[in-house]
Amino acid sequence: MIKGLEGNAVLINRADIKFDTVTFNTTRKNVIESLPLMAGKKGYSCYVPGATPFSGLATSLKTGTYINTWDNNAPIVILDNGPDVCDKVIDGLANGQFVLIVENKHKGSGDAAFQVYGFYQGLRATAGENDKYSEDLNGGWSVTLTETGAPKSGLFLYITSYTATKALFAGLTSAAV
Amino acid sequence: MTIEQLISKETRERFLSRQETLEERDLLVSIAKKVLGRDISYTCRNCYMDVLIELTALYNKDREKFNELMEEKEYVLSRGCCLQLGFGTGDFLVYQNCTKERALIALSQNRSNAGMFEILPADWEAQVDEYEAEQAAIEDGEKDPDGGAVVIDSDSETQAQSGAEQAAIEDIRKMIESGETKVKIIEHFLQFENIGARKVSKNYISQLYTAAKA
Repeated sequence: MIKGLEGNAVLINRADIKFDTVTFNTTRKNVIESLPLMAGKKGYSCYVPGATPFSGLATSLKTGTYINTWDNNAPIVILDNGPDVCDKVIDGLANGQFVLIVENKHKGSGDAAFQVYGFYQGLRATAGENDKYSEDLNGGWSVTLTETGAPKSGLFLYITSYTATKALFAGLTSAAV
Repeated sequence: MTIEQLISKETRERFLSRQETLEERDLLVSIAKKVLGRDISYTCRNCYMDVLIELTALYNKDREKFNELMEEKEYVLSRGCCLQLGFGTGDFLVYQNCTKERALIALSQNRSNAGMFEILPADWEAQVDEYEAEQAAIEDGEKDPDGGAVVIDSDSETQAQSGAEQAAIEDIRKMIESGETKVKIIEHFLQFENIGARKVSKNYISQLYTAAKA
């Protein structure tokens, strides 16, 4: 087992997913094999530099009266500031509902590489801050996206092989053909 | 401006010395989008050179693939989908490598894969039928994989048709009327060993199919 995440992730507007054609593995219901997006829609690439990208990304158990569920916390950083950043990125993050796909450093046999957050309930902003003197962010933004009440502890994206899944992952952010 | 002019040594020198024209820059950006599936930031100098080098390498190495990627796409797979092209192969279809040929392979394997496509031509089913017929013909040896026709022994056309053959032709005619594709009909008849005195083969069934359609 290897800890940590790769630096690249993909953030998708949850409304852009064609849920009627999402397919799961026939035997493993926490493995998504295809995550089609609506025509003309694409995901957005998130790159976090440094030794511990997406530090703080965590899943925790939430006990309920009859059923326990899971909360997912995804802190993301935006190492920039300005009118376009605030208008096009921060305001969008503040009020939208998202799905985040990250790549784990632990690949398993290929099927543990890509993990999906926000598929069931959507990731929504629960915190956002712009500290002008932050040592880590140098005046950039930090936003925490949270999904509460997810029924599964982990949801993975995998089809056939790591290479095929990586190509699928890259295709989510490809420019329109 | 042509592709050859864009990837020429002179143009590359101009990009290196930041003296490229707006037309050259715009053309490079649009070709990168089509061929490499990538957006280039207008503020990133390195991106221009990286893309120019990649395009030059692809153009010189695989001209056919380059031209195919430049064409207007008839088939576009939805982002987030991946279709394996053949059981056990490492070849797969994703958004960024979707060409017409690969799309036809995926659709001929399972037509319900059509739900995974963002863009499909109106006559996609007919194109898939045609593709399947071509593949069947190649397997039969009626057609070269390179597209040339193989001459069928003309004596077979003059052989008298037995009663069993007539019955088979009649069955094929009924299957055609009920909407069965050629591939399905051939698959059905391959279950039998002989029709009359003749051993069943794909080539033979294809001939009977042609006779039934006549």
